[in-house]
Amino acid sequence: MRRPEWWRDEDGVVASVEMMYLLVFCLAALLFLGFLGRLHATGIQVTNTSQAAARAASIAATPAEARAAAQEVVASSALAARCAPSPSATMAWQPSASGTWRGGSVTVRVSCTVRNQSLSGVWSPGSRTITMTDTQPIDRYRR
Amino acid sequence: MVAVVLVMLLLFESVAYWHARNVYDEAAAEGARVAAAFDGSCDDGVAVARAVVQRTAGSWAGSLSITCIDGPVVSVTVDGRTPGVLGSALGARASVTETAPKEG
Repeated sequence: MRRPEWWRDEDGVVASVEMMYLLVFCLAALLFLGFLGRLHATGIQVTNTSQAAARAASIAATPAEARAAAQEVVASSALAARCAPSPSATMAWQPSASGTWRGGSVTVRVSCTVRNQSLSGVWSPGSRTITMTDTQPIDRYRR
Repeated sequence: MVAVVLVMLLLFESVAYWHARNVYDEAAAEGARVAAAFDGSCDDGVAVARAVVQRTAGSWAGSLSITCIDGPVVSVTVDGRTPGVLGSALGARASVTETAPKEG
């Protein structure tokens, strides 16, 4: 009687090979899920940081102070450890109807480049840049 | 076959983990925002974060711990269990910290 190969069952079906393909697919899906999860978590972090930076800029007295406040918020956020290189923040503002800083709006744009390797957990080339923008009305009153 | 089933369960567990982490992240961010407001406090931030978790994940979010550290940068950490796919005992723990600059 011929002994069946390890990769065939008693009926001669190549079940083990199919299972192996499925296992590899599931492992790849697991890695991809981790990648997406970390990417999404970074996106939330960039969104929150841009909101915080825009809010900090909106309560500053002058555009120069606002720019400094926004950059300080981004530099002190947890993004500094996640982005490579460090996250960048740019600020733009719209004056009020009378042309003044107060009463206008300020927009902060935060960009964070993360290496794919740090997202997937295994070696992978390239990187992704996540950019989020938030706009806040500038406070009319000085505290 | 058993390995495939285990990996698939791990896959489902991962989805549950990331979902839980997103909920806790949202709660921590909301709590930090409230605590960092000009008239806000850490007590307010913790209460808001707890309310967000209760509203969106009240049925499965267990042993929730929310801490808030006041200062020039307010930090809110939400730590809790994730829902286990095969039972609550199999869930992992997720901890998320969000920060916001204190206004004023």
